[in-house]
Amino acid sequence: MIYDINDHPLPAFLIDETLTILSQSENAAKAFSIHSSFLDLVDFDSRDKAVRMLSPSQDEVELELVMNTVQSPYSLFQVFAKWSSGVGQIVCVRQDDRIEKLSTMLQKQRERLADTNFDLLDKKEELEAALMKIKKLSSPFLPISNNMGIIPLFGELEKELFLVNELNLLQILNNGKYERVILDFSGIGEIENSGVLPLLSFCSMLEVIGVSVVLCGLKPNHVLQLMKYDFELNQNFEVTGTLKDAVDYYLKQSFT
Amino acid sequence: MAINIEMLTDDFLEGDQNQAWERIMDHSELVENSYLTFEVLTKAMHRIGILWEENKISVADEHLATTTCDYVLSRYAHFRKMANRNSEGPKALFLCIEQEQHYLGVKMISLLFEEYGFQTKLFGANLPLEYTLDQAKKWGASVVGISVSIRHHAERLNRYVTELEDLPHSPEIIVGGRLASQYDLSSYCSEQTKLVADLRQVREWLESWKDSVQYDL
Repeated sequence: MIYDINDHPLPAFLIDETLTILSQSENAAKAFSIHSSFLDLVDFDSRDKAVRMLSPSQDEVELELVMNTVQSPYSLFQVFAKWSSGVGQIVCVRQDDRIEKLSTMLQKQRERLADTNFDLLDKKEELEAALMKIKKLSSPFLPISNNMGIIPLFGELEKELFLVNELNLLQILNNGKYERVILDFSGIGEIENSGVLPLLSFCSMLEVIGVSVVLCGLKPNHVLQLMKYDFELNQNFEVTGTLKDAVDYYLKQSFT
Repeated sequence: MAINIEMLTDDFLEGDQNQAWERIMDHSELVENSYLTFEVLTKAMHRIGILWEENKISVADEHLATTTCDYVLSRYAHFRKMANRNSEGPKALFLCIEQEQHYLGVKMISLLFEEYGFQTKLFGANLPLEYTLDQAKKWGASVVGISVSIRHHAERLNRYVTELEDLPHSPEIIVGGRLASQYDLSSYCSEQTKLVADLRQVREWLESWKDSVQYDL
C-alpha cells in the first residue's frame, strides 16, 4: 500500500527547502485554501520563526505558529516537521480555543485573588504597624535620678520586644550617663523561649556600656524559665522583690 | 546593581509571583520609581516574546508569564498607592482594540497617567468600538489611549481613531502598543492622533502636557 499524503487526517504538506509547497492533503486545502508557499499560510509575526525553524538543518522539529486559515485569519497551530533528502513533511494541528478560555478564566480568578490578597495585605501591614507601636510602648525608659532609671516591661517577653527597643534604650542610657537601670518584670505575663537569649544579650550590652542591670518583680515562673538557660545574675537585690523595694534599696545606696 | 531581566523573565515563566515581587523590591530605584519598574517589566515581557520566536516556550507559557507579570504590576500599583487616586483632574480612558489581548502595556500607561494627576479608566483587553465610543462620551474622557499589538488587528484601528476623534468633545487619541513601536501606523490614524512607540514617549507627552497646563494661582 503506497502512502498518499492526500488522505492524511490532518492538514499536511510536503515542502522543499525554500518552503514551496510540493503537495498537500485534502484537509490542508480545506483549511488554508491553495497557496504556492507555506509562508503564505503563516501570520506575518510568525514568519521569521517559520523560516528559522523549518529548514533541513533542523531535521525534526515541533513548533507553534500563528496561521491564517480560511475560517479564521489568526489561529494558533502546533506544527510538526521532519526532513529527509531535502523534502520536509509538515503536519499542522490546530490548537483549539480551550487554552484561551482557560487562560481567561485563570486571569479572572487571579484578579479576584489579587484584590483579596491586597486587602489582606493592607490589614496585615496595619496590624504589624500597630504591633510595633505596642512593642515600642511596652518598654519605656523612666529616669528617677541622675544616674538611675527604670524600664518597666509589659506584655509577653519575647524576641521582638528587644528587637524593637534595645537600640533606642541603649542610646538613651549611654547618652544620659546612667549607671544603673532597673528592669521591672511586674507587667510581664510569660517569658517566651525566644525572649530569654535577647534578654541576656540586652543585659550584657548594658554591662558593656557601663550600666549595671537590676531585675525586679520576677514571678516564680519567670525565674524557672530563666534558670533553664543558666541565667546568672550579679545583683544583691532579691529578684522577686517589688519595684518599690528596688527603688528604695538603690536610691538609699547611692546616698550612702 | 541593575536588576537581572533574565531572572525576572524566568520568575514570570515559572509563575513565581513572590520571587518576582521580591526581585523588584530588592532594588531601591525600582521601589521609588514606577517608570523604571514599568520599563523593567516591559523588557521582561519583550524577552518572553523573543523566547517564543526562538521556539523555547509555548503560548501557554506566555499566558502564565503574562498573568504573573500582571500580578506583580497590580501589587506594585497597590504598594505605591497608584490606582484610582485622583477624584479630580482630566479624564483618560485606556483600552485594547477588539480581539486584542495584550493589555499589560496599556495598564502601565494608565498608571503613569494616574501619577500625573489624571483620573483614569482602564478597560483592558478586547473592547468593542461601540462600547468605547459610548464610554468616552458618557464619562467625558479628554484622552483615549488605544493599544494594538497584532498586525492583523491594525485594520480596525482606523475606525476607532476616526470615530473617537469625531465625538462632540473631540478627545485626544493616543495610539501605542507593540505595533506602534515596530511600524509607522500614521496611515491608520489622522493628523491629530498622537503615536507613541514606547513608555518613554508616553512620559514625554505627559511632561509636555504638564508644562502646558496653566494653573489658576
